Amino acid sequence: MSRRHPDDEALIGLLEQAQLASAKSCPLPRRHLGKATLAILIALRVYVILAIPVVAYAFIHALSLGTK
Amino acid sequence: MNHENFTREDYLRAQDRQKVQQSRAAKNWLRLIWLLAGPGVLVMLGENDGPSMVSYATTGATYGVGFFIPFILLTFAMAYVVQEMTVRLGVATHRGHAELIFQRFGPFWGYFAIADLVFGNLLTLVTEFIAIQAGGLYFGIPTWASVLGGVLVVFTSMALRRYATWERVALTLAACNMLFIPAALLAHPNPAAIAHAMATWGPLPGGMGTAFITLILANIGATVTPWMIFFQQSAVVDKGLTRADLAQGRIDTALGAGLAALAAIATVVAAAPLFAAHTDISQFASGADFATALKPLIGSTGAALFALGIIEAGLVAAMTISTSSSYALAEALSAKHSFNLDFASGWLFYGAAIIATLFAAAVVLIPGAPLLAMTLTVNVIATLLMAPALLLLLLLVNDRAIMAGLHNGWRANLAGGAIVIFICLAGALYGIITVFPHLVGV
Repeated sequence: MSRRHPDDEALIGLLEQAQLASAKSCPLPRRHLGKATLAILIALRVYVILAIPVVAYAFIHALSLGTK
Repeated sequence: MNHENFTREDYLRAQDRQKVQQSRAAKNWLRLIWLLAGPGVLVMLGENDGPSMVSYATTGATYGVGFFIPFILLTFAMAYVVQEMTVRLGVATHRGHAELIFQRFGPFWGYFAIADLVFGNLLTLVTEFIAIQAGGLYFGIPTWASVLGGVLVVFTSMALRRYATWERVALTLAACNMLFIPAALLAHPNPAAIAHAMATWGPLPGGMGTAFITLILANIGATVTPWMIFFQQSAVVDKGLTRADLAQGRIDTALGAGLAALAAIATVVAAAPLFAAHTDISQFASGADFATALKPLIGSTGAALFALGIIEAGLVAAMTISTSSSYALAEALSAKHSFNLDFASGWLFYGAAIIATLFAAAVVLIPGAPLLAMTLTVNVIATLLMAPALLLLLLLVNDRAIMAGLHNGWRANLAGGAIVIFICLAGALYGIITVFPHLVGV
């Protein structure tokens, strides 16, 4: 939709620049990660690797319960 | 500012902002709260979903009025601390949670967060339709009719193609979460017992066994889950909240936490007569079983209110959880994501919610579908994967480059960090108890 009525122009002016749909298509820059943040993210990866088989086991186990 | 190519989304959001600015200029604070409230109340009442209300009912039927009354208040205080961070992230960045993770931490964490959320949400959505059909069965409504009704409510709310209208429809339905309050009053609770529980965190019949630990963790899991983080931040952005609205955003979240805690406590109180009557609830499979068992104890009106509350809990959660998936998926794929979009522009956003809803509804209708397995797995996924979601939230809310002055202070980090550690430990313990019950002798 494209509206160019002066009242509409004033209305759109109520939005902050970052609220416009066009502004949201520009991605934010990638964050520079410090050592502490990197350590947390690595720990999270380990946690995820451990958690995935637990979730898979839980689902298979629950399936077997459901069929009993 | 170049206004040459603004969109329907911009135009509708600007209309909402105009109302907010007019109310602020007129110092009409009540109207301002009315206009700006929504995401916080919806996320909190949305989390009072079908499985959560069954957890609260189980708590009341197992322990009566005692320790869990103040404990539920504590869990909602924790939920407020977590969700308030999403409000700050939303007003500071005007970006959804999924897109912030993608853009600031890269595709690995982006795709992980989305996979975690969408998988967990799909299974949770199935449990919401289980709640809707279970509540319907109490009134003699066939499963297909309840499920069809639920699907129609979700689709109709999306067809409005306007965030503000969708939100008001959802809020109206969510208000029915308060049906548990008259149901509790019909149980004729002893006010002195409730006051005693609040003051002493007791009594705790049976002590701290494994059943107690499981219920503690189930109650935590019923209050803080990953979809809430994604939903509220995206809803705050879609609603168009700015820094000037932060105070109202916090009031909205606190109001939601208060109302949801009230409904949760009312559910415990309403189910407490089952504890007094020593009712065996071990074979109860849904909220409808609680309503049926409560009928001779709190009357047919109270039981009907309870069953209606279960249906409402499933309906509102179906709306909010499918929306949370839509926002996150569209953000991850850099597609447009707003309830202010028309169908052509927002085909991915609307399509994701439609497909998720149809999938969940269809699963419930499949004869012999492993519904119990899904319900059990949902709890494990939600609790185990809460840790990464909370840690990513804390990292984002401490990202000074994007928070521009709204980053966490040391007090907020201390409170947030303590909650993260508590929820992570509780989640891991819940996962272990659920997956390896023999290790802890459940």
